[in-house]
Amino acid sequence: MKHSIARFFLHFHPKKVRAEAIRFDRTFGLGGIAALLFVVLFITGMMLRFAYIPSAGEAHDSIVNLQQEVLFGSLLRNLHYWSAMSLVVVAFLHLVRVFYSQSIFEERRKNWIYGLVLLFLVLSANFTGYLLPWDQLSYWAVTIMTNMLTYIPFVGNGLADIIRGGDVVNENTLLRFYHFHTGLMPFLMIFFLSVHFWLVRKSGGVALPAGTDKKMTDVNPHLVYKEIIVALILLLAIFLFSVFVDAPLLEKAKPLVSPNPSRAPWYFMGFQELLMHIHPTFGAFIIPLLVLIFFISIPFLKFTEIKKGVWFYSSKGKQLTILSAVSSVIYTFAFVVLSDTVLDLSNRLSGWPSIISTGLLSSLIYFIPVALFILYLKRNKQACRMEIIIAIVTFILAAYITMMLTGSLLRGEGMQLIFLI
Amino acid sequence: MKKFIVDRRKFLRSFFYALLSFQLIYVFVRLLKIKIPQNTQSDLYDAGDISFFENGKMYPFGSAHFFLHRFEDGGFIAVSSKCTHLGCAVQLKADSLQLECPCHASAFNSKGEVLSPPASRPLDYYPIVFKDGKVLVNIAHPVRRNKFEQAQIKYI
Repeated sequence: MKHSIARFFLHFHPKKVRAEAIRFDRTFGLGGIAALLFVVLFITGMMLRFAYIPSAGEAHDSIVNLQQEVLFGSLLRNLHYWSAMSLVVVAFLHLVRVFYSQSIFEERRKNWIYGLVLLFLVLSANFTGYLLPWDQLSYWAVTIMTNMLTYIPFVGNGLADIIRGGDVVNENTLLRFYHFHTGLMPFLMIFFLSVHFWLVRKSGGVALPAGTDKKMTDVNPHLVYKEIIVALILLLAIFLFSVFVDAPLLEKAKPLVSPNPSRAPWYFMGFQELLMHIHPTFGAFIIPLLVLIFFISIPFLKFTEIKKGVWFYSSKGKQLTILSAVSSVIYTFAFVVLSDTVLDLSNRLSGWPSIISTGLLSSLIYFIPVALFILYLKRNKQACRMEIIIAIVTFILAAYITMMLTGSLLRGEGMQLIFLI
Repeated sequence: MKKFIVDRRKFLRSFFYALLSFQLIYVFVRLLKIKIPQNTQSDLYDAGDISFFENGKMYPFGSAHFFLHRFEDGGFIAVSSKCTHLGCAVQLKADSLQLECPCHASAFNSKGEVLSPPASRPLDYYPIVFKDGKVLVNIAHPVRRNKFEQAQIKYI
């Protein structure tokens, strides 16, 4: 009986693994950290349910009450909040890790799809939870985000109305988001997490390059110790952070007064920034759709050679990753500044239909140099298909992060760039 | 790679699963489409006596989410306060007939037309009816439009 719990947990692992597979710098433990954060969120979330009242009149007060009257109430909310924010970051890093270590091909490609589904669920869970405090921050962030959906052609308005339960964010939306957040999302995540774990084992665990040492080692204690140490450090870090840094809670939501500026949740700020430069049909629909299709299709493309477990595929792959990341950050930031100041297409070409001026024209101005850059990598650097794919993915990720940071940190009142005022 | 063969059994099975999934999705979407009845008194919002509104002025009705503008020639238009860019609440700029969005600096004139982007569409407007010398605004039915037309102004 004493060991049955331990034995149950050991079912996540085989009895023996290759010694090379459990080196920390193969995975940085990111998948495990994400899973642990999910458990923390599940437990703290269940506890928060006892204090929270999902109605527009009482939601904010119930949180204030939790923070002021309940023993460790504030800490409980902080733990939930900071774990949720960390989970978004960790899940993203996990995606970056499996992509760059070439662990998404052949037998692992099904798991890449499940991973993308899980990332979507993590973001949806975070976003639905964002509204629950019902303060000025959450109310307007959700207003902005659900209005971004209305720009999807044909179905956008219907979709946004279904999510909100009306044409504006109101009490129905709060109740709906509460049930998404505390019912549907955790249920779906547990289901997909189970499939995700099972597929990791089915495809033989961590991807290792051909020719690494085949020596086997016992999971218990070698891997288990590492996992426990990482888990303890993580829990300690989250705990200490939550003791000293409070989760934000602004004044109660006022549906008649938008704060200046109003922002989407930080992880969606890249989209909001994109919408400032490119027509919504492109910014909120065509470009995200193309990127999504591209990401899904990566492991299904034909490659001449696949080197599973080799970071960046080759030394040239690594070099191109750095080159694309740096180019993308500089180019995207320059485009943002120029689009706000010199180009200013929406005012300059105000007589044109906006889908042509800020839509097609803006997109072409951005993407033609990018295409030339990719062509340059192919011609002058003799990059093979895999290296090109790595460069494109790097470019997209770096561009999104640049836009996200610009929108979140460098824009002030009226969403003007703060260094231009 | 295995060769992908669809025989009758496989086809029927996938067909059945697909049907079942669509059924579930359909039921769920219909569930989300329920309109939970709000405690609405009436679709028509009583804005006040016609004679109260002066020509060439704009009147905010914050809680009902619209601005009522009476033109110099006596016509009325009720424009929504929901910005067409990302849904923030536009505000009346002091001493002018201009509406400004605090979120991303879109601006509109009193007819709801876009004066400065990022908004790309005029503000929605609400149908107005006149009854017993009062201005009644149909706040349940905002009308989307792509441009301002003279017919959107209501005369007594």
